[in-house]
Amino acid sequence: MLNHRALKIIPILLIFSILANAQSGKDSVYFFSQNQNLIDNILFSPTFSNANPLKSYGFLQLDFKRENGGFRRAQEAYSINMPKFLAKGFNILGKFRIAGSIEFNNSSEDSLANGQKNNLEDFTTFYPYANKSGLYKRQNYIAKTSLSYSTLNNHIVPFINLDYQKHQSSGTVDPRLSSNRFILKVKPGVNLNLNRHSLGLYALVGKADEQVSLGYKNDVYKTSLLYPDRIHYMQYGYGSSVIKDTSNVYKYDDYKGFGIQYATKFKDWNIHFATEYQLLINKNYTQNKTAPNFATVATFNLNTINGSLLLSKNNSINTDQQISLSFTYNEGYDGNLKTSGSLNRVNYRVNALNVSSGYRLLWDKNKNNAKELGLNLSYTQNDKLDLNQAAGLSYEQLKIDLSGTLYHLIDEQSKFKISLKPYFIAPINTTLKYNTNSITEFIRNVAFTDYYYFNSSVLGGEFSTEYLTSKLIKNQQFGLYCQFDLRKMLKQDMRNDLNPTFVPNGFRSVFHFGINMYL
Amino acid sequence: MKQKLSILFVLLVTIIVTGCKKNQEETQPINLSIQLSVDQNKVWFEVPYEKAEITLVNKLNNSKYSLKANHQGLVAVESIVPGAYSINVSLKITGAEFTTLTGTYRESDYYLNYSLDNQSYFGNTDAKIQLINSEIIGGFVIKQVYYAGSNASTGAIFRDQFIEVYNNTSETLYADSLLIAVVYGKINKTADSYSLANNQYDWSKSLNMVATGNANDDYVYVKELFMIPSDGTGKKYPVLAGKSIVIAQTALDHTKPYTTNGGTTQNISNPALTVNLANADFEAYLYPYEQKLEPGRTMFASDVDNPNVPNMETYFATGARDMVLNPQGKESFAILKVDKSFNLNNIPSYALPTVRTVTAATVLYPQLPAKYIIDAVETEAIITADQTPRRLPMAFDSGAASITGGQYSSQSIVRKTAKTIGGRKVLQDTNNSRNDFGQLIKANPGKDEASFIAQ
Repeated sequence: MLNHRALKIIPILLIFSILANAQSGKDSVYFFSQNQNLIDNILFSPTFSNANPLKSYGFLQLDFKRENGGFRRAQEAYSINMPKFLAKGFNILGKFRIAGSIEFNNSSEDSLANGQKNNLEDFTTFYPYANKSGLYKRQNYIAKTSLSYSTLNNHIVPFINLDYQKHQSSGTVDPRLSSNRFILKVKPGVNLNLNRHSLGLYALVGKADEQVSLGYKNDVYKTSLLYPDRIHYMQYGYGSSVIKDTSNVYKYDDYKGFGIQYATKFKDWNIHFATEYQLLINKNYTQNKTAPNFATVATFNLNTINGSLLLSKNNSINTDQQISLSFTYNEGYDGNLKTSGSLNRVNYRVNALNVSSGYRLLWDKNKNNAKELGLNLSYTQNDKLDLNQAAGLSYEQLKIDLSGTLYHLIDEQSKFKISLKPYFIAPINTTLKYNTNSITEFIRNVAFTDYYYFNSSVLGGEFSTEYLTSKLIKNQQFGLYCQFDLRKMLKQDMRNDLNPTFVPNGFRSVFHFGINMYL
Repeated sequence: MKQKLSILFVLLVTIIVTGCKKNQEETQPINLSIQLSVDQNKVWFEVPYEKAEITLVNKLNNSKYSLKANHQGLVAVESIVPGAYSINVSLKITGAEFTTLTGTYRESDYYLNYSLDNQSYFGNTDAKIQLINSEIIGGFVIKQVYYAGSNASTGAIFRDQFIEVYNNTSETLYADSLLIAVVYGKINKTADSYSLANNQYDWSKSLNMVATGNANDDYVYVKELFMIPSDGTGKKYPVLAGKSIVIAQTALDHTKPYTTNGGTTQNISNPALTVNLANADFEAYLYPYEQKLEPGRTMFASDVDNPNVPNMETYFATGARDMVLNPQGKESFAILKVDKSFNLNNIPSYALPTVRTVTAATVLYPQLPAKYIIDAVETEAIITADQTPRRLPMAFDSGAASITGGQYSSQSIVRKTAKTIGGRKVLQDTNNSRNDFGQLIKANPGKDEASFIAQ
């Protein structure tokens, strides 16, 4: 088994060899957002890549994100600063196709309460919880690679994709979180090409290890109940929690699944369809594997099915069109000796669905001023339920956005684009369930706060611009960009029966700026 | 081709979705019935079970249920959340009621108690609880125990600990020869073959155990044992009705700097966290005891002798060089008075049951007959995960007292005041310290009004 250091070094070597061989001069690929969508789709897919004429691509990004504001969820920081480095690309070298990406990010999250867990996903349970807000540091190292080999005159293309992620979270106030998670997924598969059709099939297997611990520098906070926000609870569902039950959790997880990808061309439309099924089997322990009485205390199974359809028409001289449809469905349930007495009896359930669709029309793409309009519509449904506590939060939201983009060619070596996207989020149905006789701290501080968050109407706007130039280094294109997203909560119906520590209100803004380098 | 692929996809998704939908059993609300009973050899009369106060606490969400039994002693509760529960039962029969029920005149109240912790109920359950008669002996009671100590850097750590004993009668009592015992037990929850069902030591399995009756229920095993001295008259230290005595670990004013036995100055950063024990009635001074065991041993730095305060006689101390109490609530406390048949200079002592070879270096814990206990109090950590198995037999304290602040919090457990008769406070003593004790935010050895708390 490769150790973590080797797993970091191999993708780095791979990605830089790809980037070094990437060709330049694919201006439209870098300029128009429809092409960027297409690139993101084909990057790790030999299936989609097979139907695309692009043979190489390289991209480097240095990004800084600043996010802050009072309109936030209970387990979200008031302000987040995150620098990020991203490198991605692919290349076709003879019969081999190599793709890879590396991302490092390091976030500093201030005034984060109720968040003594990693922030990788929102569905799992069995983690510590305390109401004390403080500063958190998180780091992610994410590497993805794809290697394929063309055989039998490109009719059969076996491939293997590797996804690796190392996550680290730590808190700086008592109780201090420490979370270290390592995920490795392998996707071996084969792509079958026949005429205009490409079909890719792959299996998915993976492992994840995580150690979560809480520490106290101040022994008074550790042993006392006099400081309510310093008291940690083990969260065993969506409300079921035990006061200071344990401060060490070991998670040993498995991933299983498979995926299908299909690409074809119909008239002038390129069609990319992908779907993937993944089962996460999360097992929780209070002792590590070497302990003599190592035994599973709780499990959580999460079934995830996602799918996407991307239809692109870009053969016209003047116009491009793109239609996208995607969905993700999650269904999870636990088994916990503490809440149900059995690993096979469910106390906590979650299901979530996100469906989104979009249409983009680009015209005058060969003129100095190209324009693009876009319309996106998405629906989100999320339902979490704790049976023991008769507590849960379910919500449905609809989001609609309309975007307009202007692409302006300044001269042969420089251009810029500017985009404006107003959007509106409407709550459709938000339901909070709780038992007045057993309101735990989690229900009060997380469920109540999130109820207000998801029950709010939101009006927002996103402004982005990028200036691309190859004047800095000859034949090397750089992009200087910034992006600003501002959303405002419009109205809130306050309830007398809810008393969370804080109520989301006001604005939330996300600001990005950085530099792109297109290879 | 496309059509075939579409059909294949639809089939696959259908298989996935249906394959994942296992028939999952869901947790359901449960019904719990508890049948209360008594040992009819000891409690021969018809018990008025409907007077029992039963408290059920869910450990998952801290929801409390106050329940009542019917006349037959059956407690039924429906549709409660499955999980781990603690149960506390307390049944008070007044003297008049006792007289009516038994035909035997009785002035004082009569109690039946029981408590259980961490009981797992995940399905419909029929539980049985046999109540234990906690006969109140009367006389002295433990009023206050300050085991927590004060802040480790700005307070006095454990040096300011004390125990207060109260005369709960209407007559003058004499403290001469009163034993103060720190009752020992397991300081973790490790299960092994030398433990009882609740993971406490099974002392009957100690090597060379000789015990009349039950080695666990009829005795306590002590870590420290002190006695109030006497001049032989038995009347040297009178304690008036409604008054108390304070036994200090070190009878000094801990709010001020003092010189230790090592000649250094013991400073105090935050005097507000600690207490003045210079006016204590007695203090533990272990130097003479240590010299008997190990002549020439240097004095323990903080075990400073206050010549104005009489010293307790030390009969046993292990693991500490002063009357150091466990600040986490992992010890229990008892006051005892033995009769002449019990030789305090030759107390039977036993090794921990887990020790299978006894050598000269093995610590042997003195075994004291529980029949000599006048009063006792079980303590526990407030945090469930830190709690250790109870040490006292249920008959002497069926509950446990704790402080919310944890170790070094300056807090003490203190017995509640049941009533006041002509200015004399009568402290609550039902042999269930979960009901009988509350806490002082700051320990108070001053014996003043502020050192009492209401019910």
